Amino acid sequence: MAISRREFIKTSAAATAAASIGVQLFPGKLYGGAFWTTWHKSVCRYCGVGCGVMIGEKGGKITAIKGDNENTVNNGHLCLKAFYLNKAVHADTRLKHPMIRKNGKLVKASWDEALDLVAKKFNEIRKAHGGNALAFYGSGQAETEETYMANKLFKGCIGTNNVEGNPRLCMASAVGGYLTSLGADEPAGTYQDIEKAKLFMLVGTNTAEAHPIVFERIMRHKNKNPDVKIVIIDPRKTPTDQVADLHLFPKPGFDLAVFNAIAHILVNEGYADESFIGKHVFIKDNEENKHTFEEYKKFLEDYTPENAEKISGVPAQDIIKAARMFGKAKTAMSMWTMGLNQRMRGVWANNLITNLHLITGKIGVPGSDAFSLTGQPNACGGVREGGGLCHILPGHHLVVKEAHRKKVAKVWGVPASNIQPKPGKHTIAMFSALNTGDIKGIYIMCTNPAHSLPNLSKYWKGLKEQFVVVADSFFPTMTTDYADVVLPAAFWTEKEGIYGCTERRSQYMPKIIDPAGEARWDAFILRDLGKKMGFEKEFAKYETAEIMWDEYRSLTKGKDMNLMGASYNRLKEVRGLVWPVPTEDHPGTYKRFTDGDPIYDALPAEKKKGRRMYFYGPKAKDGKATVWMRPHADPGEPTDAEFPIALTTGRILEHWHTLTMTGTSPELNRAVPKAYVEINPADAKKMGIKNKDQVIVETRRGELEIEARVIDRPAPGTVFVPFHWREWPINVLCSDVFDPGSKEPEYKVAAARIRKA
Amino acid sequence: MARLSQDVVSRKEFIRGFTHWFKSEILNSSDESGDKYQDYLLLPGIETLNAFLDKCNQCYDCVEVCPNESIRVWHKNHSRLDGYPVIVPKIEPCHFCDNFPCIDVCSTGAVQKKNSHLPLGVVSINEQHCHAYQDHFCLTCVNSCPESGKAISTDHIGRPFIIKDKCTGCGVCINVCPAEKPAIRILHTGE
Repeated sequence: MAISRREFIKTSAAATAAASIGVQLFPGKLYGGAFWTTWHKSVCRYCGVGCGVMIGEKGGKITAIKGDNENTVNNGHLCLKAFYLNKAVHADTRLKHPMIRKNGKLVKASWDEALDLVAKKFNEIRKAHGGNALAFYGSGQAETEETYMANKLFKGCIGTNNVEGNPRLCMASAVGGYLTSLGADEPAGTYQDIEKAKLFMLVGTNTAEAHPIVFERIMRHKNKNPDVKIVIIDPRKTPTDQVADLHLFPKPGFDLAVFNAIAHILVNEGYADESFIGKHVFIKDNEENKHTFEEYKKFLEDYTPENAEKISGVPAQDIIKAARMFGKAKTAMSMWTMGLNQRMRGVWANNLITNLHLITGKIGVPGSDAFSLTGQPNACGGVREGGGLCHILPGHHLVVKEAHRKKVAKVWGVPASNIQPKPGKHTIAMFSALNTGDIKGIYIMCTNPAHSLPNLSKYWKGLKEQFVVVADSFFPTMTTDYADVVLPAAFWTEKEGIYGCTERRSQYMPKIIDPAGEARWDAFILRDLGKKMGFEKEFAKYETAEIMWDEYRSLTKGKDMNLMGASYNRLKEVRGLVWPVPTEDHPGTYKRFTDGDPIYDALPAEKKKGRRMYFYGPKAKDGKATVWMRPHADPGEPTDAEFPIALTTGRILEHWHTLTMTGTSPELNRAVPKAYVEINPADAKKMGIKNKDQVIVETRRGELEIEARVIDRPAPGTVFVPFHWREWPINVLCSDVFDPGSKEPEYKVAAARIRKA
Repeated sequence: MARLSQDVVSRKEFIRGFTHWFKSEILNSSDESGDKYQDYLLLPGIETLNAFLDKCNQCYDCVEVCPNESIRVWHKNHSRLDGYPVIVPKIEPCHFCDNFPCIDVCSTGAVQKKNSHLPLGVVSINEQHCHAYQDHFCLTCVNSCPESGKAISTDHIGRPFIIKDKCTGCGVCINVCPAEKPAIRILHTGE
């Protein structure tokens, strides 16, 4: 401690005396000074779980992070990543001043110089080639306010719908799944269902490592209630298996047949709730033709457990067991994440899981839900709800609908004709267009696509050739290597704003300290860029984050994601609000489409007659959800004689995305210092590979030398590589075929082969 | 509702904060080893410490030959092992090579293959420092344990514990532990 004992006692005694009688002894932050920590409630910066954190500040530095005991998401618990977040705030790798590339090298520049250059270049491109030659690529980690500013600048002012973000790579298939199955995006239930569920079906999720606090809630719930059963469907055994009662190992990409086979058992063994189906559900095929329940049964005849075994490699007995467990359980919650979403048939996979809930009526009641886990802290809030993709506008509005364009344009104060009626380029199309030169300038915010895109090396060309602006808090990244201008962005704790997590909960994060160096808030950078590009009037009013939030919030009025009751004042006090939350006195909504949902409650009685749910979402008709007759489909790149092993990638517990944050903690780097390839011992023996050998993993797109970790985790025939390190960029090997509906690429399945290095 | 970010704290909060700080300072200073714990593991193939000290002639061939640079010379005054080869898992743990080159190269019989199944040390978890015992979800030691789940397991709420008769004492868990202060310790083997 820097102060003497005597000094300490003197000051604390005086302060205690003053505090006890409610007097503030010194102006300013008495205890936020040199030796006492002040605590601020906020939200974790990492995954989509949305844990509440308390951030400790001392002497203008973030010194400690702890779980927020009052936050119902995590009840004071955190994963170890969050504990070390303070190190990221003050890391040496923080970018502290703007930079411009001169003669091939990034050199320090002033803010005016940098923004003038970007404005000039963007305007030149726009004038010569039109607005569609520009693009914005954002992030599920950006605050809602930041994405909102980007949307207004690009869609509303520049006039291009080339606005995308990394959630396209992450949960676009879940959006497609919810919209087609339930008629509205985002889950019907919340985390509260966890403690009420009797069965969990975890599909394509390593919950323990990717969503640790959700997993912990499941684990504690099962511990208290031994009758709770857990079924895992995943080609890999993971730490999540410590709670598993049954594990099905489908070959990567061949699980659609398994889901249909489970439905087959449910329907044929009397677990289907025909009265629920009759009142709440349409049954449709791929061409959207309606079918009867009998026809659905007939469709499922092809998917006997034995047939599914032939396709997927999962023993028929296990499929039957899983189906019976699902059918018998009083309540069931399925959860999934990238294993279903990052697939060429990701939307179908989502539909098929939701089918199981719809045919058994295990939805809309406490403890039952089809619940998609989101990977990033504000993918739901900022991008799905905030309209940060090429086909949507803020507040669940669509660019193709004239009324929606008019409504948003009016709020933005721009002519409705500015907003293009056609969706812009989705992520893969956007980076392909950089390669071909159709897009000549791109603004990348808070994400690292030169590290995270699939079939990565293919897209470096465009980033090299076109004008690239990167706004990031950290430097260098693989993306700043290609930047012409780098802008330092304020990081978490240095800016206020809203994050919306997996369970529809919007939470407020305060600004606690000043940004590092010359860093500025992303929303203000975009605002000022807008002004410099000539949209002075359009961006004049955005003086504070609250003004942006309030304007955004006004667009949600009357929508399924009504946030009118979630004002800054209120959000500063509470631990988030779960929409729909239509008024300031509304507590938020636990279950959508049923009793207690303000939108459901306001429906006329005749609509609700004889039923317990009404799916009122924009894509639903007659208040009905849809059971889809989706046939099995193989992955884009099945294994073959030449490339006999299925490569799959993912996260680990200790690290996150491209290491810009977790890489700043020596403790986390020590825990897992480098990438590795997990190989099943049986495969390793066949190939003569020993633990810690250097091996070369190869796909049709490239090869990577990496250390082997021989471990009984991936099923034989499957290998796994985490994607975090720039030194081992496994995404170069990933396939970039994408789902025709959601446009989400199939990171999770690539045909590979392995040899000793 | 708890107070959030006010400049003035209540008397109760002040006292609670002070007590917490005081407690943690006391714990920190009173912490750590002294006589109970040590920083090193013995080499594989040692039957008893006395026999090893007797036979080893400090030629350091094992230090040379270790492919992982796990074996190093221990320097500590008043330690019986001062000058002897040991493994310091915080720097590099033992990876138990298939053919034990360190034993092969030993000409004195200080380390012998017939003893290579014996653990290199006995480790225990310091619950005060372990993330998992402070409500921070962490599985690093469990995930990295080469005995995959047999030597370190988790209890019903995810806290790790060591299964002593399965633990080889390789020290990988000590090497990877992401706690701020060492959360896995090596019990003293008797100097």
